[in-house]
Amino acid sequence: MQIDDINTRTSLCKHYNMKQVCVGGQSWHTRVQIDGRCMIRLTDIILRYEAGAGRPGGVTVPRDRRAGQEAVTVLNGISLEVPQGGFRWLLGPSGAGKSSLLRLLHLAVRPSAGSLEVLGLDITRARREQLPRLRQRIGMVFQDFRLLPHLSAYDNVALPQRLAGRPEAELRAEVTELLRWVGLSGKGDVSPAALSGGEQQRIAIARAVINRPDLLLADEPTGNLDDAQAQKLMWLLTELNEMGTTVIVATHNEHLVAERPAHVLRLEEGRKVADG
Amino acid sequence: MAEPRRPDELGLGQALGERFLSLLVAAMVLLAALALAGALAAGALSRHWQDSTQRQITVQVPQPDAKLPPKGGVEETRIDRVLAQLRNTEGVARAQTLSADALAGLLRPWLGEAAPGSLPLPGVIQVDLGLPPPDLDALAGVLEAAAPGTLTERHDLWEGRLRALASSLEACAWLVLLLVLAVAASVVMVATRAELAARREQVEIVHGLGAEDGMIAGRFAQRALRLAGLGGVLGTVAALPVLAALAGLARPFAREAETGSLVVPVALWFLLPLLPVLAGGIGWLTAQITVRRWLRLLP
Repeated sequence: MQIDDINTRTSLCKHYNMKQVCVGGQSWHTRVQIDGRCMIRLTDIILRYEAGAGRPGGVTVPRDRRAGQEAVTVLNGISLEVPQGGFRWLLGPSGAGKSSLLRLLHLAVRPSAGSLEVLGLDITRARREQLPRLRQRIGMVFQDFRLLPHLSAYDNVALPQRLAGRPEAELRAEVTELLRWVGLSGKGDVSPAALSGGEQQRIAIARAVINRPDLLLADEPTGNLDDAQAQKLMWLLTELNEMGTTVIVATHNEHLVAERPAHVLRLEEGRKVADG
Repeated sequence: MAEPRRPDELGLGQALGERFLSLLVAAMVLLAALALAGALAAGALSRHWQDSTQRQITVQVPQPDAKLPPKGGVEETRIDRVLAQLRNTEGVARAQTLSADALAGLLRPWLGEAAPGSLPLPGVIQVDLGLPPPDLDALAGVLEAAAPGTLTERHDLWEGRLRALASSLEACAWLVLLLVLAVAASVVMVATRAELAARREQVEIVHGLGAEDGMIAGRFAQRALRLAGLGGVLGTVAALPVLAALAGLARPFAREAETGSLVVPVALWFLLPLLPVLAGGIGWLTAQITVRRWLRLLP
């Protein structure tokens, strides 16, 4: 990876409009005033995928679960809170419900029961029209990247800004800066299919942070990276967190967790078994 | 400086089946143009029949050349007396005896070239009525009294049947037009659903990044507008030679009506250019509804 600490910090500062703070050598942690407000609150959340309902978006039933005819409960009685600026490791074996919990927090599904509050909005009572604006404040790094294959790396990174209505003329500098931040400054015109897994992952990360999200979710973000890249990625996520973004990272990688000690949420069979 | 062109987020420009949709819409618009022409022509025919039947009657006088007892010292033939009676009747604009040649021409389809002179044919008087028309029942009585056996044929007896026929033709044509438009909307709906299925992942990604329903539906609708509009233009252009051929077939009706507007109603020339607009509008609206309904299934 071509990112060095100074460049990364400078790029991040630029992206978050903090250049003067950086130049002055002041604290990084001033973008958002962290007041400990609750960013996420789950109360007795149950998420159940109904069988046989082939809804668009895999919303009700993911494709790989449709074969079974019985409803599958993937989250069962989850309650937790994450304050503003918090960092959480989300751990657990495969099938524990980590990805489902992240999908829930990304507003890709609504809970079957219980109460869900994200960024101060009660999702269980929110009108559907309120959700797009909220989604624009949430960054998500998917395990399978979920890049748009027909768009260039540049356009994939620029997409959240375009969806937020940012004029084209204003976003070029920012996208270019972010591509440089993730070490892909020369590959803006390249199609994702022509990039390696690690490069695609970095494009996905740049896309996730370009809207300066208040909440950043990452599902196995190091799964396609070698150890060195993975460590640098985690360093970047840590920097974002220290600048005020609430971060939740689902991973199997115990080494990363050991190197970056933080609050751990552990799930097993859809239930929370550890929170602390 | 112009704003750089935004990329096609959903990859709709790479979609297959664009030509197929345009061709299907073109076929629908061609049918719609024919149905529209049929509806307008049937309406014009109905009005033409109504006008001409209300304004004309035919009077048949058996033994037209037979002499009648002198009246006022003047000896007349039966047909002359009826003709004089008609011309003195208020509300009769014109009364004219059909010539022997004209009568022979009318009978030719049944009698061929055989001379009808050997047959005891009645004299026929064609009567154009003015406004207000006379009381036809009273007039029939007067003519019967003038020359016993005279028969007054009121064309308005046919009017109801002809109007019913033309009206049913017109209704059928409008029904076909509506059906064709409904089929066109269905074609766009099926194509849009197929496109949604093919672009499902892209739509989900864009939706997850905070795209509003209106933006996603708008992308599909713009594409449907373009493809359906193009199909509309193709269909309308293709309809022109077909309509010209049909107008040629219907030319005898135009001669009868002494006007070309019966064959190709003037309104058709104003409505035909609207068909591509209508096709585009149906495509846009159908895509909007289809995509928005599909998106409602997402949270």
